[in-house]
Amino acid sequence: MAVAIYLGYLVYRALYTINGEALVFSLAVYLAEVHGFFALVFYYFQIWEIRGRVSPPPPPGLSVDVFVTTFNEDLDLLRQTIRGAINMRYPHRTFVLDDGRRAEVRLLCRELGCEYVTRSTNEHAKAGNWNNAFCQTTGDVIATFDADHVPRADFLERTLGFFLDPSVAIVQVPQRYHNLDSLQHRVNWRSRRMYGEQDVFFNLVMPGKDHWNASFFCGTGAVLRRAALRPHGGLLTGTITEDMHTALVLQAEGWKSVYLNELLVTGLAPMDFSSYSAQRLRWAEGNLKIARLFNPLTHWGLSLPQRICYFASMYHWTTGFAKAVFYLAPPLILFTGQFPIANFDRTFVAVYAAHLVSLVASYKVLSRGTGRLVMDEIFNMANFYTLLVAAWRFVLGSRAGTFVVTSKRGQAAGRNRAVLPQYVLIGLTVASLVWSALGLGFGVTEDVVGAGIAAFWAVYNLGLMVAVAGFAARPVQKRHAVRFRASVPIELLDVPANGRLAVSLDLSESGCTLLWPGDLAANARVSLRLHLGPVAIDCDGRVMSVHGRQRGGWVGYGLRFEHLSPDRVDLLADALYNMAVPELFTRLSQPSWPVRTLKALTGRLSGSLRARPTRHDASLPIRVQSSTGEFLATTRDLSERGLSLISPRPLAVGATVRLVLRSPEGEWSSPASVVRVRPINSAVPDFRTWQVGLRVDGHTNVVALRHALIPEGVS
Amino acid sequence: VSGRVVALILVLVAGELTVFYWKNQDVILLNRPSGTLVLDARFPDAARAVLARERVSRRMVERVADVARQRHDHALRVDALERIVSSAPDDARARLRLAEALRDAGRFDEAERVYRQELEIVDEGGGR
Repeated sequence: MAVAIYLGYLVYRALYTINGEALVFSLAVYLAEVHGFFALVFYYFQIWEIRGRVSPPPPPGLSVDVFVTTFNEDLDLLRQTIRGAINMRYPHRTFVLDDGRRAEVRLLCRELGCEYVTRSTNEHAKAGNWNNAFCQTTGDVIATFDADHVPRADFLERTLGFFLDPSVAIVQVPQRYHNLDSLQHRVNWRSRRMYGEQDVFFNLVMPGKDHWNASFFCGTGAVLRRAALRPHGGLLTGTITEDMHTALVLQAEGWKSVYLNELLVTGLAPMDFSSYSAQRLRWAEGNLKIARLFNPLTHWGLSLPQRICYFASMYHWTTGFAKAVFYLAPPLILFTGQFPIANFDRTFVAVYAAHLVSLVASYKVLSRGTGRLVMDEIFNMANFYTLLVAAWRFVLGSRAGTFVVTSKRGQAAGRNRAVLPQYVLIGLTVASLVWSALGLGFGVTEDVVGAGIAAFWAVYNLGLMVAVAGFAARPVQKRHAVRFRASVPIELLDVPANGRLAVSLDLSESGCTLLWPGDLAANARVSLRLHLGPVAIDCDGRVMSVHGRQRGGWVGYGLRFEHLSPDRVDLLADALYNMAVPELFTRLSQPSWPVRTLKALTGRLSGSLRARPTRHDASLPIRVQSSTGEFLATTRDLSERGLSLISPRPLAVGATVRLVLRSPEGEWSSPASVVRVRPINSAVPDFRTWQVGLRVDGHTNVVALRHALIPEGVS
Repeated sequence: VSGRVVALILVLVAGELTVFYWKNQDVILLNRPSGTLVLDARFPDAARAVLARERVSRRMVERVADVARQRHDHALRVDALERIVSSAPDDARARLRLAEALRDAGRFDEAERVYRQELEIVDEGGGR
């Protein structure tokens, strides 16, 4: 219905509202709307029906090769990816494909026990590197990972079962990113919701494509069948997006693809705007180039839905023109007084309102809680110039794209030239608003309604532009390693037993932010015991910064770990990838508030759900005394009646435990009964944790503790 | 970075103000108080320039007509009111003011024609 209303709107626009006095401008805006119509039709076609897959058990006896491609990535980063690849549970051989020809990578491979493959040239970039290894190996299937994409131990177990179907050539899993402070993530810790720019693609579009057997290889986190690639000598070359190109050709040949929407690999998203834009430019140019070489609408072998799905993927990269028109239109109206729409009357407003409401409602419904319009618009603003450049190069055929490796580290915001178009737009929009205000104020013009509408539109766009400029101007990432928001209990071993308990606010392989009630001098050395789920690591730390005393007497400290042996670093990394990452993604997967409210309301009405007291996020170290012994845990949230915590042990529902919380204000202790236990989905048994819900016995108001025990900033 | 961007935008706006002033000196002059404009020798040229514009607000044209009346510059007053009438042909009050201005300018035939037209409209429109 939304599509029909949109179509009706376009017909009305064409018949009654094309402004002959500003014909070029009016047609440009109209064509941009027509472009949006097709984008919507393609989008809805792809996500109308989405396919959920159940992973079959892996067949025994498959010969599996694992390729880790690298060019210039840091060794620390590569080390954890290689370890992740080696530690996958199905029998396999791991190959590191180093296009950087680095001796230190060869040594690393020798140390970790995998094979090193390199070549003398960098011909065809990543695809060439991959094909070089393809020719030297023999596995039936090949799992492939970028240097920053760390697979879970169960990656192969979850994906290989699909190859029981002999026509399956590709199994792709979503690309998730564990650096949640990246440019393309927005996290609301209070509502436990995360926005990732690619969520719509990986949660809706790919499962939707999978319904039509049109999901494609995304370059990393995939398993490919050798027999399908052998006639081509590996991945197809000739474009800079070898992944989609290869998938398209294989599907035209009759091979099937599978998309398994499970968190099985996590990587690093671009941290700065330049890297982000360079990556998007590569994707856009690559996709558009495929359209030139291998037009899915006309090429033999594809089914009609596959043609539409692939064409839709390519069409997506042409939105730059339409967006540029929408961003430039308000300044143009405000500067010139020319309006792209004639007959801007009540009828038009009614037609437009119906179109807008149906558009937003249908988007929300079909997005199934994933799509967020404003965030999507912000990223459209971030990408418009990149896509414009890509489309322009495509039209002119002026320059062959080059493969640019996405930087895994941020760069200085001051050098962020990629955001220049947005700055220019900001200047232009502000200037147009000022110009229009001057014109109205001095009586040069008098179209208050027209100027008002254009000003509203301009201010909305300006908000998007400022948001993008804000992303781009973020402080430089100084830390070498990604800091995970992981709250684990930490003991300060030099301190008497009753006051040594602290908690981390974040954690990386090289340091953490520690919260402890006592005083530590800057540059002081401390002995620590990190409780990483069921595993404890002793190490030294140095106080690099003191964040100051907070309410409740807690003090934040920036710590750097010292003298950590490679084994300890690896153990810490294992804990982060196998415990902190699943916990993070579980924690941040709350449904949106309308869905939550609706669920609570229907539950209450049907009587199946009781009113639940408000939960307050709080990460505190807590000592749990149970019948099986005493252990340390971290609280996740508190409510009036109880609390939930992340436990390294699976407590039984109904069991009674004693909780002991210590703070600068004193000690609190209470019996509590276990009411809920949920395992957190970790692939490694050693790092399995549980989310435990506890009801505090007696009349203690646990929330009252929050004020006494929890400093600001802990939540 | 944001400080530099803000500074650049301020420079841009300053430049824009300069351009606006340069392009719209006539309109800016007409925004002065009427009492000042009556005595200002630059008024006729500025008013003619404003009336020559393809697009200008009615408020500005009204001001030209008003100041021209005070200066007894009937030709200019008539030009301004003709501009108003042409942009708002249904405005009876404007037509009457035009007829009055034509009369004051000694253009009685034209004034009479406008009065008569207005009377015909009133008869047809039922005493509007």
